[in-house]
Amino acid sequence: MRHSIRDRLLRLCSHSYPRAVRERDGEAIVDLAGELADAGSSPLREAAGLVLGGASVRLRGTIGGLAAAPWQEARARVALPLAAALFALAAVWAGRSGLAQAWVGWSIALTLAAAALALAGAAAGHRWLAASGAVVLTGMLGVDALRDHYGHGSRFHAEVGSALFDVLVMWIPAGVLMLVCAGAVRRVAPEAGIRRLVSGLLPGAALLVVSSEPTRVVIADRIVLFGGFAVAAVLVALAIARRRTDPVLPLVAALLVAAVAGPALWILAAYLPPPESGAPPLALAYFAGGGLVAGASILLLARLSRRAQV
Amino acid sequence: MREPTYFILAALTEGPLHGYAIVHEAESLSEGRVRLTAGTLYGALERLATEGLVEPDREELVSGRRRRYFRLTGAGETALAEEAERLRSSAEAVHDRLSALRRLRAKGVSA
Repeated sequence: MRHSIRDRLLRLCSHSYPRAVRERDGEAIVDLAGELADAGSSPLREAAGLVLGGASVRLRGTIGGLAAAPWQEARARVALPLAAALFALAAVWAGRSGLAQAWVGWSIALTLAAAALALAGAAAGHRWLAASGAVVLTGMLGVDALRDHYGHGSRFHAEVGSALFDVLVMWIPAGVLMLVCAGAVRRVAPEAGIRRLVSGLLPGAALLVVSSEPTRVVIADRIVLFGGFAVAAVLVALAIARRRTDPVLPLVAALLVAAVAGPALWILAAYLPPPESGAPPLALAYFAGGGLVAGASILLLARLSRRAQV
Repeated sequence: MREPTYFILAALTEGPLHGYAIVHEAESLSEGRVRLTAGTLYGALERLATEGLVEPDREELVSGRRRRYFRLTGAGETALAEEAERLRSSAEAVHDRLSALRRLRAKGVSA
């Protein structure tokens, strides 16, 4: 390989290092790689070494940045709205199942009670209460997934287009996230706790009433689901726009994206042609895809938050 | 301690060295087992510097190429000595076992 081409290749590969490292040490690294190539090392091996070395420095920086981000504060902020959303979900399920007319059974009652417990814990800043509620709630969502898996069918479906979705299964990641956030809530004064609890209960209570009377008020599932995703998208945009004044906001947005990424992909996939029979369970595929989206958004938004802090 | 790290630290016992000399010394000390690229050496030196085991010494320009020198710190010397002792004692334990096995075999053959 000609020297000029080799040097250009090494310089190009040195771009795998973050800019700050390149500006400080880039020349020395490229010169050393050139010197080793002169001494008999393969230029391609040196080029690969630079790419891997740069990627490793970036990875270390990313992990360090993620660890240093103010996650505690972000989790504390997400806990109450997330608990309110999960309570609303349980309320809609109970309402649709006819809570206003008759006893709906232990599983629905337990889910509603667990969601209320998580909400009360998040509102009062009581970690054990919030975590206990989140564990039972997520467990009940998991039980519904198992029911579906063993052929008994999910007990709460939403209709979007021509497809039916297992709503409870969709929100398992949100339940897990609630558990993660429960560990960060902080105690508040009793008056503030009551105010927070009432504000968290209101949306769920309203939805409970609306969903209990399907003959009077009909809201298409599509509107509710897409409305929810639109709210999440607006929050992300707001977080990006206001990151300078509030660097925790991008992390809050990242956690919300992590909660809705799986369901969002699941619903968007309804508009794709149905898979062949024998395909792997779709829920798993959507959660895996959602996990990737969630991971990417956490990385990107945490980076924005860190830059805003600097 | 990983083998490349061990030989990088060992190379620096000679005194402050630049990158090329470290790669050369590490390869020679390890009898060709450790062949570092510029990328891996830089990553390892960065990490060792963060851990306080090595530190930058000086920078020189030789034939238009920038050479950055590194030297071993006191903590680096201690870490290297501890690792060398650990390897020596591990090797000794295995060596003793092997010697005993060979003695047994020799007795078996003679009987």
